[in-house]
Amino acid sequence: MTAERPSFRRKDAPPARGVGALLAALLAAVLLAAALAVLGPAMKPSGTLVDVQGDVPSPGTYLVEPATVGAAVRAAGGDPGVLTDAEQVVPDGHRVRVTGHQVAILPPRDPLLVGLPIDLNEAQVHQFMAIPGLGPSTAGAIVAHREAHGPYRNLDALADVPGVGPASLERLRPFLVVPNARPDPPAEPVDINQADARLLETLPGVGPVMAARIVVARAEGGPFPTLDALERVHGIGPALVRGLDGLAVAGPQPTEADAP
Amino acid sequence: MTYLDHNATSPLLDDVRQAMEHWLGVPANPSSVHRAGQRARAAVEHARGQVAALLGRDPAGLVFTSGATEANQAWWHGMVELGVRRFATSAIEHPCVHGAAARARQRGASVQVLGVGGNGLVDIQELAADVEAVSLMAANHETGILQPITQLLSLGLPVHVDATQAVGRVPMRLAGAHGVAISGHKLGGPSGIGALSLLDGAPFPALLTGGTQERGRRAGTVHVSGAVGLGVACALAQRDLTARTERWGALRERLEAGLVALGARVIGAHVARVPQTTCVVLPVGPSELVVQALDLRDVAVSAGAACASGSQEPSPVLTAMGKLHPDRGLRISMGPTSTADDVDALLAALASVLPGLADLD
Repeated sequence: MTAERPSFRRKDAPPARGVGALLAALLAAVLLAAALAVLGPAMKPSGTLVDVQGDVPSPGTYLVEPATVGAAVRAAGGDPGVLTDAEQVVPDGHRVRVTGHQVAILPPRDPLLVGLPIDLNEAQVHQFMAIPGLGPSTAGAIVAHREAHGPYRNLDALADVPGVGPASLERLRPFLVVPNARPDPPAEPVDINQADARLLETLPGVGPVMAARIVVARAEGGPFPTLDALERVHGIGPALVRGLDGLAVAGPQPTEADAP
Repeated sequence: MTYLDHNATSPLLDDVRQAMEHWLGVPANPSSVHRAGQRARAAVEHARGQVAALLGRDPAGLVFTSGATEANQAWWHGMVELGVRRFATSAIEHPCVHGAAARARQRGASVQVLGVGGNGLVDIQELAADVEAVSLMAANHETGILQPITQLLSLGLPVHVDATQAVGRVPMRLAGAHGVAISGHKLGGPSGIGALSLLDGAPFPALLTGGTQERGRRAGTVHVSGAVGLGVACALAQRDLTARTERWGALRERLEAGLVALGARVIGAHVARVPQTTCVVLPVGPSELVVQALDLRDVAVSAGAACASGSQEPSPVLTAMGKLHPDRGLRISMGPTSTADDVDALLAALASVLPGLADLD
């Protein structure tokens, strides 16, 4: 029977269509706001829908033209002047994530919640509401903790959220996921003047790229006199440094012999 | 009155009514060449965009129907016409899907009926290897339990999603589904209007034939005021999704804690659900009597799906889930306008009703 599969199979559809359709659809919603009651003729809007996330004043979905990182960040209230690559073009429906001066363009996400699990590091309060027994106050605490301390390194880290005890953690676990979950950091604070990239990666908000940059910055600019001095590393802002409190220290300056 | 039966029907929202009113008093056949007709066409196309936006779908693929029943049946009809001979669906679908499946069987197709676990989730692992197309609801109408649509879509089969009870209640993008059915009156729009969203504007064998409306996919004059109302209801649902779901989440905590305190057992306490639907098994029954007693206290809830509850049959959904006392199911479903006062009124009325029934036992 497989040979006779009808030709309307989903995999035969042009792959780009779903995204285009989604955008066209979202666009209609953007245009709607002013015309809830008074219905004008259908309009053909121009621009590209971009989802802007991260270190911008108003994260969200914006219709931008031209479809550049700079325009998207400006739409979200940010200052494109500080970005490294503001002229970069954002393809239809892609997401822009701003971390400090750094911008990552991510592929479109299909936030289809009909089906779980929910991404603990992406979901907003209302997206948690499909989970029974999780109300807006606990969900709000989960999101607030993430905003204050950076992404959750793994599901166990939920236990740090005020109001989430061991029992509720076990109850929530089946509904949630942390993509690329990392193990807990060592009990000892990480010395940012000694740690290698692998150890630095255990810190909240520090991924492989940032860890490598810290190592390079240390090699090129010398040890960090304080934790705050980490901000001289491209992409590290005050929020990330605050999240390191108690987890990392700027250890004694290495002697010349230790320096690379 | 305390109305907590929004899964049966939700009252028309004010903004929807206002948008519709104009179109009730003017000549509005979108197929007409004159300007009156063309204005109606523009309004319908605008609404099409609004509905498609909420679903995350291509407006060109959206066909207005008379409701979700027609939308579901139109998809099944079209697939049978296209030559699909092996369908799968679930045991807990809305009766209109079971009706469509029965007709597909009469026309020579086979339909695998997927079972449901005690947790209320349809078991898609059971799916037979030779199935060509699947029809599955996004959220169950009685329990609100969200079904494994994401996993199903990942299989690469054409999937039709009856999203009637999920749309506007959870964030949802159904870009990959072959068909999506929704209904206007479950989300504060008018009854008598719904939509079937197909992947694109390509021809699809129509259930209603003889006219070129809706690109030949649904003959008959488009219900302009209905389409406009559905469009606005969808736009409101999209605009207010965050606020609504968060409020429902808070009300649900209050509601379910109160129901448990009254000895009820929550169905789906450990699986994902739309936040505005709570189904419980009462400590006493049958729930038909409870519903009537609550009605005398001006509280409207349901003993299951409205379409089945008139029949005095125990809930087919709870029966399929293998629940004890399927005749004691009570469904409380909130809407955009529900408040904590509604929840408290229901709990108070239930507290006064249950002891009397316990005496009858």
